[in-house]
Amino acid sequence: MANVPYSKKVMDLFLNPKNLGEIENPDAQATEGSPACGDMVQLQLKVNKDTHIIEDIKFKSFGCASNIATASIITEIAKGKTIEEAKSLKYSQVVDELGGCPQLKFTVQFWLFNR
Amino acid sequence: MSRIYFDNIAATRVDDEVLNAMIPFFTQNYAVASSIFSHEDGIVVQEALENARAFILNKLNAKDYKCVFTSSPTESNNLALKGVCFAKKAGNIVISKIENLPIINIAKNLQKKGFEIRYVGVNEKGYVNLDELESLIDENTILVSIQHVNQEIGTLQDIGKIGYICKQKNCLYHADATFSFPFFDIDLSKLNIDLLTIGSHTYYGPKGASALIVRNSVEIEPLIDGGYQEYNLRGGMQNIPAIVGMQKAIEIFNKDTFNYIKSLKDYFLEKIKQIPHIRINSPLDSSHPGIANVTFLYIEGESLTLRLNLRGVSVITGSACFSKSLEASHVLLSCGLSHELAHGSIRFSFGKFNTFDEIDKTIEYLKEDVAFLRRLSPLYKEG
Repeated sequence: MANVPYSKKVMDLFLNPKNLGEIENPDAQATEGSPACGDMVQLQLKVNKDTHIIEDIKFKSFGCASNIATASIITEIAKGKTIEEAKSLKYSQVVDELGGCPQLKFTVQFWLFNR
Repeated sequence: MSRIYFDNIAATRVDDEVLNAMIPFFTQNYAVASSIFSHEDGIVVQEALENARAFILNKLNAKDYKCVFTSSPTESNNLALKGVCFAKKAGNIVISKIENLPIINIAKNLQKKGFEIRYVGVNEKGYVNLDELESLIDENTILVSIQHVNQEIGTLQDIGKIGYICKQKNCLYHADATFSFPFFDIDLSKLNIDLLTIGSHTYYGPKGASALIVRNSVEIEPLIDGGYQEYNLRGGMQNIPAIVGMQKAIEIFNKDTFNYIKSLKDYFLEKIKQIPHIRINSPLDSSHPGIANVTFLYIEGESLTLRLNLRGVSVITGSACFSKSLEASHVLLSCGLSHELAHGSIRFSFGKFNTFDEIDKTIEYLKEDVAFLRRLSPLYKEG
């Protein structure tokens, strides 16, 4: 593979993102960032009303490899958790799951995460 | 697997003829260029250096000019702007909004030292607004610095008209010709250009060689003191192999090379139309023969360049994610593009070693990669 500044996990998610797409009649939706920023993520969730468990979650994104991988892994980590558990997710957990990220990209991720 | 290199404006391969001309200056004629009172080894090298100097001045039809060799176009630009400003002590300088980063940053540095910087705008294809330029120059203007060809979109400025305005207004004109010479001829006897920067590494010459051509009557303060080299304007041992290489690269560059490169670009611009929702950011006329800057709507540039990189294709993007400063291309933004369009831009720069086959392959990759990224994008709605 060519020399790239990203971990194997980031590259894998960048090329084969998980949970890509949209949900019909989502229970919750969030769009953060904008094309003007160069970073944008749209998340759609299906949540069980009784258990609060995130039964399905899909993403779409406009951005660099960090953006795509981060958005993808967030959906993987959040799926199956309750809304409350998902809210308590820490940014550093995501970075660890991704196997680290180039220093410069922390801005991208950190921003993405603190929304 | 050999890669497809479409980043020729950053740097090109060195031509074999150029390399062969350089090698003796590493292995045989490796002495320091010396004065006529030196030993034979030094004199031989000195002659080669002066030969290169005379050749370049002749090629530019530069009478009453100095040819100061430096290590890079950035160094030449530093010497031009700072050299002139420090000699004049105070005043303002006018630069275009789309100058290459070195000029922009040199100007910012001069601003900290008390010089006023004025920026002249460009239109959507990067052409400098000449009326605005005229209005920005006043009796305190020391220098105008406007490039000949733009490094990102390839716009070719009318340096004849710009020089004329500067002459009328009685201020100096510096043109950064790093990306234009020798693709385009420059006749200094016909243009009013006081300082000219030329490079070497974008036309099959080596890195490490550049020249600042300065009119004899222009006073500049040296930035690097040393052992009286280069008219006492730039100290330090000259990179003789690189200078010899630069001369050879200029010698062998010809109209056929120019036309071949242009035919590659024209072919690419024709085939790229197969991809919907694109914007050609480069002007089609009056531009560098090898630069094609294209925005692919609804997707971000770094993710596209990375996918192409994995396929073996080397290009760069004007997206913020790609730059060290995390800011989108100042050139594209100055042309009036939105941030979104700047983020989705890719620069393809073709050279004489590229082939039509490479373009065919890249177009196929682009079709797949752009489609993939658009499926990912919340901005793209199919149909």
